[in-house]
Amino acid sequence: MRTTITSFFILCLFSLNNLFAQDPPPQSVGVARLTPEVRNAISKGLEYLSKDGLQRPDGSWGGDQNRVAETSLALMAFMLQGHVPGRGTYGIKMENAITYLLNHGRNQRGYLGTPRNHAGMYEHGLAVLALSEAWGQSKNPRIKSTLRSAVDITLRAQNREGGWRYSPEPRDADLSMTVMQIVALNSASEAGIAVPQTTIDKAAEYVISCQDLGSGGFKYTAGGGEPNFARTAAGVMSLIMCGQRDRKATQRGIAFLKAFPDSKFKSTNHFHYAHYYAVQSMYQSGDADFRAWYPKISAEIVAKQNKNDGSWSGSYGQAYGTSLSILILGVPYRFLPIYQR
Amino acid sequence: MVEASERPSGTIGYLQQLEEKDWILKAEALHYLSKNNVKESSESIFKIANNNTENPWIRSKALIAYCKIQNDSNIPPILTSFSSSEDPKLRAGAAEALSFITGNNSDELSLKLTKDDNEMVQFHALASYTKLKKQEAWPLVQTMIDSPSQETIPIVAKALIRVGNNEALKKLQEIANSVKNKRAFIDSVSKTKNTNTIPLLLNLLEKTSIDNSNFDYIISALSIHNNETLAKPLSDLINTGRDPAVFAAARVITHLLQDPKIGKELRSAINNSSSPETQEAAMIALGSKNMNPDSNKDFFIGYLKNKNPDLRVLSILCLSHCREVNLYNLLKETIKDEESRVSLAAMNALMHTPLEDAPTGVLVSYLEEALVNADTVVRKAAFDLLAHAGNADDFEPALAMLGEALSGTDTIRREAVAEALGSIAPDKGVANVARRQGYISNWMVLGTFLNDKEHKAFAKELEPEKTIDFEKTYPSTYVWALQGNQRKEGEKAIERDIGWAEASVNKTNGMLLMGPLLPPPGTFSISYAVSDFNSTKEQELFLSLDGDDAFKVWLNGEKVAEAIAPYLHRQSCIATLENIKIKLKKGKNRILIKSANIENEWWVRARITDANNRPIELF
Repeated sequence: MRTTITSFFILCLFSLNNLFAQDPPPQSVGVARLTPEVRNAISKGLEYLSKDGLQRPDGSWGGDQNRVAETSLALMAFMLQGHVPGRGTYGIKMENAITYLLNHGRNQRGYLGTPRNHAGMYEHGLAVLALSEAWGQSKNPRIKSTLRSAVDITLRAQNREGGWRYSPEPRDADLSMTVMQIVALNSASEAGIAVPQTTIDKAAEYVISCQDLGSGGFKYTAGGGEPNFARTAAGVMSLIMCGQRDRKATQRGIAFLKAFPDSKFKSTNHFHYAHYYAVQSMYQSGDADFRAWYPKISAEIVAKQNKNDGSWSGSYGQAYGTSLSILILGVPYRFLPIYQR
Repeated sequence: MVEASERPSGTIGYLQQLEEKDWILKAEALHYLSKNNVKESSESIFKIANNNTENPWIRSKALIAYCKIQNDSNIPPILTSFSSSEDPKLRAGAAEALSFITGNNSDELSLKLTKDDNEMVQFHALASYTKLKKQEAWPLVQTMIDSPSQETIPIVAKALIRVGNNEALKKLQEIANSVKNKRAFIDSVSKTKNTNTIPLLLNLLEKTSIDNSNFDYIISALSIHNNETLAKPLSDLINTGRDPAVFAAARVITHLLQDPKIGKELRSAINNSSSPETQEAAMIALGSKNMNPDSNKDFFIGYLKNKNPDLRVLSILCLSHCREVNLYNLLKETIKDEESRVSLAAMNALMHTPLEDAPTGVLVSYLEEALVNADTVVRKAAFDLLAHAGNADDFEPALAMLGEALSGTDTIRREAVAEALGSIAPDKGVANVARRQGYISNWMVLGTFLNDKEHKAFAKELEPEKTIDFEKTYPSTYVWALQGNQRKEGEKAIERDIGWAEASVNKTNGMLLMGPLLPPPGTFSISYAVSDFNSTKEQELFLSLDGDDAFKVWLNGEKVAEAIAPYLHRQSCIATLENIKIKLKKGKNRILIKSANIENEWWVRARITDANNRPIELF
C-alpha cells in the first residue's frame, strides 16, 4: 500500500530541506540499493534530457503526437532523482515543463490530452500523474486548480464497467488506458484532490474482469485479447493502486509475472511500458519479490543505454525511451510519492 | 441574410420543399416555416400566395404563413386582394390572416368579412376581430354563435377564448361538450396560447378516457403553458374531488407539473377516492423524483396493506424512490405477502437498497418465509437477495435453514441454494456446502506437466499415475504460450520442479479450478488431483464427472472414466460423464483424476450420489 498523505508531507519536507542543494542529496540515494552503474546511467539519462534544444521553448519534450505524455514522463524522471522544480541544475527546465502542462490544461478546461491525439486519455492520465507528483514541490499555484479540473474529467470519463478508453467520454474501456487513470487518480488523491472510493472500487472490478481465469494473466479488455506480460503488469499495478494487493486476483497476477520466462524478459512487447508497471508492481508486492526482480531489469535497462549520449531508444523516440528507462531504474530512489509503499 | 447557426434545424430542407409540386409537402413546409417564423422564407411564400396557378387552398395557407412571419401592423395589398376574391377559400385565408395584422386598421376589414355570405369566412373574420377587440367584440360574437356548425366550432372556440368573459367561457364549455372533432377543437384553442384554455382543456381531459388518443393530445396541448399558470386550474380540478378529475390531475402532474406543493392537495383528494385507477395514478404522480417522494412516504406506506395487490406493488415502487426510509424495516411483513408479485416487488426493491440498511446476521430469518416459499420464482428472488445483501455472519444461519436442500434431489433448488450460500460463505464454508451436495471437496493437486493441442501427454502414462507420493517433487516442463498459441519453432520448454499441495474446491458448485491452484500459465497443461475418503461399508454408488477440457479417473487404482471435449479456441470445452456405477470398499477409498487443458478455463468436478440421485457426503 501507498504511504499516507502524512508521510508524503514528510517526504516533501525532506525535499524542502534540500531546496538549496544544486544536486540531489547523496544520502537519499544511499537508502536504495542502487549500484554505481545504475546511478551513473540515470544521471547520464537526465543529462541527455536536459541537453540544449531537446526541450522546446514552450517547456515540452517529444514529437508532435505525444508531447504531453513525453513531457510528463520527462518531468517525473527529473523528480525521481530528487530534483526540485525551480531549483538546482534542472529546476528551470522542470518548472517550464509544469507550465507547459498547466497551459495545456487551461486551454482545454482541464483536459490534458492532445486534442488531435485519438488516444488523448493516455496523455491526460500521465499529465495528471506528473502534476500530482509535482504538487508540493513546485511553487506554481495553478497546479492544484488544474488538477481539480483534470481529475473531474477523469472521473466523468469512467464508463459503466468502471474503466476508461481513448477519449474523455464514458463509452468504452480497456485495461491499458484504465491503469493510467487509476495510477493518476491515486496520485491525485495523495495530492489532496477528492476521488470517490466508488470510482476506485468500480475501476478495480473492471480490472478484475480483464483477468484470464486460466492463467491469471490480464487481457486487453474484459471481453477478449490474450493475456500477456505488459497487460498483466498493468493489471497488477492497477489493483495494488486500488488498495487490493492482497486480493487473490492480484496475487495470481504477481505469480504470472514471476513465472514469466527469462528468455522472453528482454524482448517482451511494449518493453518500456511493460517494465514500467512490472517493476512498480514488484516493488509494491514486497521486498523479496523486488529484490529478485530489480537486478534483472536494471541490468537489462543499463545494457540498452546508448553509451555515447546517455539516451535510450523507445517506441516513441529517445525522450520517451530515456524517461521511462530512468523511471524503471530509479524506483529505489523513492523520491516520487507514487514510488512509496 | 440569416446566419446558418440562427436557423431552426431543418430550415433548408423546408425552404426546398416549398418548391415541390406536391401540395402536401408544400403545406408541411408552410406550417413549419411559419411556426418557426423563418424570415428568409417570406419571399418564397409570398410567391406561392401570389401565384394564380396554385391551388386556392395552398394560396390561402401561404397568405396566412406570410402574414404571421411578416408580423406587420399594416394590411398587405395581397390580403386586401384575397378578401375581395370570388373564391371563398381565398377570402377565408384573408379572414384568418387578419389575426396576424397587429395594427388597428385590420378591424374594419375583419368586421366587413364577418358579413360574408360564406360561413367559414365569417367565422375566421370573427376570430380575427376578437383578437383585436377582445371583450369589446362580445355583442357581435353573441349574435353569430347561437348554433355553430360542427365545422365552424373550432374557429368559434378561438373567438370565445379571445373574448374571455364569463359568458363567453360558459358558452365555450357548452360547445366543447358538443364538438365531434375533438382533435381539431383542441388544436384550434391551443393555438391561441391563451391561459383561458387551461380549465377548458383540463375539463376536457377529465371527460376523456385514458385509452382515447386525445388524452395525450390534450396533455400535449397543456404543455405549452408554464407551471405557474397551470398550478391554479390544476388545483381547482383536484379540489372538485371527482374521481375522474383527480385522475386527470394526477396524470398532468406526472407529465407536466412535478411540483411538491401540489402533492398535499392530491394526497387529500385521494383519501376520498375509491377508484384503484385514480389511486394508482396519484401514487405514480407522488412517487416522481421531482415530487419529493419522501414527503409522501406515509401516504405510500398506507397502501402497503391495501387489499388491491397492484396498489401494494405500486406503493413498494414509490417507497423505493424515497431516500429517508429503511426499506428493510418497512417491507419486513410485505416480503411475506400472499401474492407472489408483491413479495417479488419487495425483494426487488431491497436489491436496490443500500447494503448498510440490511439486517446483519439475521437476514436469513428476515427472509425465512420467502426462502421456503412454494413459488420457485419467489424462492429464487430470496436466494438472490440473500446472496446480494448477506455476509459471512449470515452463512451459518443460512446453512442451518437451507442445508437440507443441498442433500435433496431437486437439482434446481439445490443449485440455487448452493449459489446463494456461496455468495456469503467464508472461505472455509465453500467446501462444506459443496461436500453436502456430494461433491468431492478436499484434494491434493499436482501440476503442471506439459501438454499439447493433441493431448499427447494426456494419453501417455505419467509418473503420478504409477505411484502417488505426496512428499515427492517431480521435474516438469512448461511453455509460455497463451490462449492456444503453440510454442514457436525451436523454442525450448522451461523446466521447473513441482510438488503436491492441499486444495479444496473453489466454488460451492463443486468446481476445482486449476488456474488459481497451479503455477501459471496453465495452458497446454496436465494436472493431477487426488482425494482420499472413507466409506462406512462396501457399497455401489454413482459417480458424475465433468471438466474442462479432458479428464481420466481412477478409483482405487482402477480406471473408471475418460472423456475429452473437442477443442474450441477461447471457449469452454466441457466433457461430461454422468452416473457411472462405482463400487466403494469399506474404509479408505482413493480417487485420482488426471485433468488436461489446452487454454482458457480449466477445472474438474466429481460428485457421488446413490441410486436415487441423493448425494453421499464423504469424508
